[in-house]
Parts: sequence; C-alpha cells; structure tokens
Amino acid sequence: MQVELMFPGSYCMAKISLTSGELIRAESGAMVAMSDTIDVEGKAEGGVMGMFKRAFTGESLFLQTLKAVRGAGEVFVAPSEPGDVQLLELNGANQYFIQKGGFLACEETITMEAVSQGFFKGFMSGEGMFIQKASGKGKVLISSFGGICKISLAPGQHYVVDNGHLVAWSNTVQYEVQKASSGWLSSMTSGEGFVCHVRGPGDVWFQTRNPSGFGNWVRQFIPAKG
Amino acid sequence: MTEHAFRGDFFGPEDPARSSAVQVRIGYDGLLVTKETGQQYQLPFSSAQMSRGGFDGLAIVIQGRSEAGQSLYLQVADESFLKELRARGPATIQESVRQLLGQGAARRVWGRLSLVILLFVIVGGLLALYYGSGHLAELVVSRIPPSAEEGLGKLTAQSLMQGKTLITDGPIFQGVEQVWKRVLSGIDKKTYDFSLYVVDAPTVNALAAPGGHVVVFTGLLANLESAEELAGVLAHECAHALRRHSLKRIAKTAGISVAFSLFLGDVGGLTGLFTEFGKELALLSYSRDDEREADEEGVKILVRAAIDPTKFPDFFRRMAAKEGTLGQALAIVSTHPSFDERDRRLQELFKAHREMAVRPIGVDWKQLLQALSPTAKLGQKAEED
Repeated sequence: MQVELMFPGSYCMAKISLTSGELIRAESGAMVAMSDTIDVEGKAEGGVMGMFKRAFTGESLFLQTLKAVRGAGEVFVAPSEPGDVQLLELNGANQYFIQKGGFLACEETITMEAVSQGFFKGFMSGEGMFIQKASGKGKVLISSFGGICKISLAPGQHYVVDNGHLVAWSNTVQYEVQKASSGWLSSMTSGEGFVCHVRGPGDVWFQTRNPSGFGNWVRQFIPAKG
Repeated sequence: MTEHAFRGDFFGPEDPARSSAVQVRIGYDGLLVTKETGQQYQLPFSSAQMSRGGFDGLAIVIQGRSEAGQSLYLQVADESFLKELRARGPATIQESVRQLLGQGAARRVWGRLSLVILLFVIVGGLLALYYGSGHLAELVVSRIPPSAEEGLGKLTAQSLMQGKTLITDGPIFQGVEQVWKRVLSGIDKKTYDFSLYVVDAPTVNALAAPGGHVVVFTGLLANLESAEELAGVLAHECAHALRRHSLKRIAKTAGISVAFSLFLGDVGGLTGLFTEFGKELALLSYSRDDEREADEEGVKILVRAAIDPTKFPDFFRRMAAKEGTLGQALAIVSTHPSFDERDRRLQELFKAHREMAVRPIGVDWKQLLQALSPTAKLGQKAEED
C-alpha cells in the first residue's frame, strides 16, 4: 500500500495505490473514487459488540473494505468533515490511540479496536467514553477537523492540550484530564474548562479546530424550527 | 543468554522523542536492546527502574542508563516479558517483578470490573432517566422562580417565531385577542403576565412556552370552525403554562441530553443545548398525565369564562379523523394521546356543567377565516388534499 496525501490542509484526500490482492479497510463512506479493479463492500467489523463499540467511538457501524481483486489499482479516500489527513506508521511494537471519529483507513495488517478510557476521562476529555486503539504493523490514516499538528515528547516531557483537540497519541503517552485553571470558576470563565495533560515519551497529534466549538458557532445562525 | 526476543517501543539517546521498534532479549545481568538498524544498547539490571505505564497503565516501562551512560526508555506490551524476567532474571529484580505482576493483574480486574460497572451505570441511568426524570424535573422546576421562567419562556417563544411573520394588528389579531381576553378572564389566579403571539405559518399547532407565553400559528386558525374551538385550545395551553408542564418537559429533556452529551464526549454541545429550547418544545410531546391535567384545568377556565367547553373536542374530532393524510403539518394531533380516550374523559367533565350559562364570544369566525393569509391556508389546503 502506497499512500500519497493530496491537497493537504483543510480538504486533504489520500490516494492509496494497492497491488493485486491487497486490501484496506476504511471508514464507511470514505471512498471518493477508485480503479475498476477494486471491489468495495461494507462489513460489520467485530460483530454486534464491535458495532456497539464503534457507535460509541463516533464512527459509523460499518467499515468498508476495498480490495484490488482484478489487479493493481488505486483508491482515493477522504473524511466527511473538512480537515487534514495524516499517515501513522505502526512497527508492530508501538500502538496508537485515536479519538472518536478520527479513523480514516488502515492496512489489513492493522487491528482496530474500541477501548474504554474510564469514567472521568470519558466524560471530561471531550473524546468520549470509548476511543480507538490501532495495533499491528502497517499504515493507518487519521483525519482531523482543521489541520493536524504533531508534537514529539521526550520521556517525562509535559504538554497541555485543550479537550476536543486531541486526535491521536502513542500508547507510551500518559494523559490526565484536569481543570484549565486552579479554580472552577476561573476554569470555566477562561473558556477552556477542562484540558488534557499529556506526558511523554511519544507522539501527540492535535487538530487546529474543535468540532464542538465550531458546532456552537454555526448553531447561532440556524433558525429554530416552528 | 536466552534467544527469545520481545518486541518493544524504544526511546534512545539520539532522539529521545522518537520511538523505534526494537527487540529486547533478557540476559543474565541486563537487557539487550536491538534496533532494526542493528544498533544495540545494554541496559544493566542494576540501573533499570521498572514500572507500569502507557495510556492504559498496563505496559511495562523500563527506564535506566546504558553501560555507556546513555538515558534509555523502553516499553514492552507483552505480559510474558515479566514472566520471563521472573524465571530468568537475577534475585535483585524479583521483588519489582512480583509487584508489577500484581499491579497488572489488579488493573486488568479493575478494567473488566469498570466495564461491567459502566454497563450497569448506563442501564441504571437510562432506567432512572426513564422512570425518575419526571420527579427530578419537578424538583428542578420547583426551584425556578417565576421571573426566570418568564425570561426563559420569552426566549423559547422568540426561537419558535424566528424567521416567521408575527401578526400584531388587523382583523385576525383583533379576533384572536378577543378570544384570548375572554379565556384569560377565566383564570382566577394569574401566576404570570400571560402573552399571546399570533404567528403566520401553516403549522397546525399552538404551544405554551414557560411563563405564560402562548404561541398560535395561523395554520391552526384555518382549521378551526368557531371562536369557541379556539378558546378551548387557548385554555388548554394556558393550563399547560399554569401547571408548568413545558418547563418540566424542557428540564426532563435537557437532563437526558446533558447525560448523553457527557457520555458521548460532546461537552461543547451543552452550551448549544440551552439555546435550543424552542426546538425541544416543538418536537417533544407532553406526557398523558400532563394532557389530562391540562384538559381538566382548561375546562375549568372555559367554565369560569362562561365559554361553551363542549366545542373544544370538535376540533380534535375533525383532526383525528384526518390524521395520516396531513402528515407532519398536524403537529397538535400527532403529539397528543389518543383522541377517543380524551373525548371520553372530557364528556364526563362536561356532564357537571350542563346547566352553565354560556355567553357568546362575539367574534365573526367566518370573517376571520377570510382574512387569513395564503400561508395560513396551506395547512387547510393540505387537509383538503
């Protein structure tokens, strides 16, 4: 699987070249265009429980598999929201956690599963109760709302990311959710509320826009129904 | 040295923020770390500090200095690595290994337990919301002062009317206002300054926002055949307002939405929720008990105002007969419980008022209907179709 990221920025699209017989899994509805050598089919990954978990990670219930059945070909995939796409390489030892809705596509060799991140983190991180874990060896494409910024943390290095902005992080990264300021009132009035404290080593990807914040901004222009 | 190698995630001295895949072998006095490039590091057990770490707290983290004095950070996800250390490692690390195995087992048990607890919380929470949200909403509502309720009601009414034409004078407004004043004369204890909004829209509906703000759509007027029918609908809506039904409904819906928003991680959506009262009000139905209460209170208001209450069900009877052909335009019927049941109860109530003195409202209804805009008649046209 060869990946070329086209139009990076707000409307990024990934061009994936597949050799004959190669297969990728993608978020349902991610396919934009493809060669006629490729077959696409929907699949309920992980059975009923898998669908249940996927529903809670903000992904659709079904994944699509794209397989180069009749020889090599290429497929273009893009997320539904305006935003960037990044390629993560898994070497078999490292694992990545991806926020709800952040998964776009992966190689067949990658295992995607939904994992719980606990009550407090689930409620306050802005990422939901379940997030996705990618493991195995191969490539994973993630998508963001807005652009994606990557920071690489050395062991013990500490960073603060506003909740709702985290896209993905290495398994080696630890994170805690805390109030943005020391006081509750000042946390809320600062407009930040809760923030995520991430601690290295490892990589953290965050998005330049917050989908909830954007939703609130748009909402003021929508007339109420009568 | 054993030949068994474990896969690890390694942060070396050259670039401490960059992860490399490595193979880890357990030796007699230390760990041998081999990168894919072939580069090797020796981490003696004497300098190695072991702990649990990683995002889920289950990975095995080994930090220390190589024999060359370089700072090394290694993470292994494979639990059998610890078992191998217990079997092959020196006595000096056995206590740490034992502790880590214990921590791992406890974390895994807690992880499974928390999922089971989560499942119970979800199911219990949903049951509590389903059965207990009414009581909770009442408790919340009882603490909201009428002044705050009026402000909230005004916001709700405004959001309902956004983008639509409000009728504030002319024959339609005057006719409706005359009916409204007669209905208000039947309310003995006015908790609020009741306000009426006549909105030019084909929606066949009338709504009571909190704080006595009542909204009537001209689509409803087009489907009424007398001023008494309108009086019945208005008295019913005033009763909803007096009993604070809409506020309870908002409190109940907001409670459920808040819980779901938190669960799904949509914290930002909470703020938006409070600007959506109008939509919530328009889309959700009252409970059967609320409707029963509003029917009974509505009849009392009509009787005190000397308006014939028996006309009120006429409109519902006509609408119920046509339900299904009008689709969504008929919101007032689709959000109310079955007509037969209500009609039976209303007829029982009417029996007590057979001898009441009725004073006509004095609105020429046919003339009012003729003055309605083409927009209002869209509801009526749908009915004829």
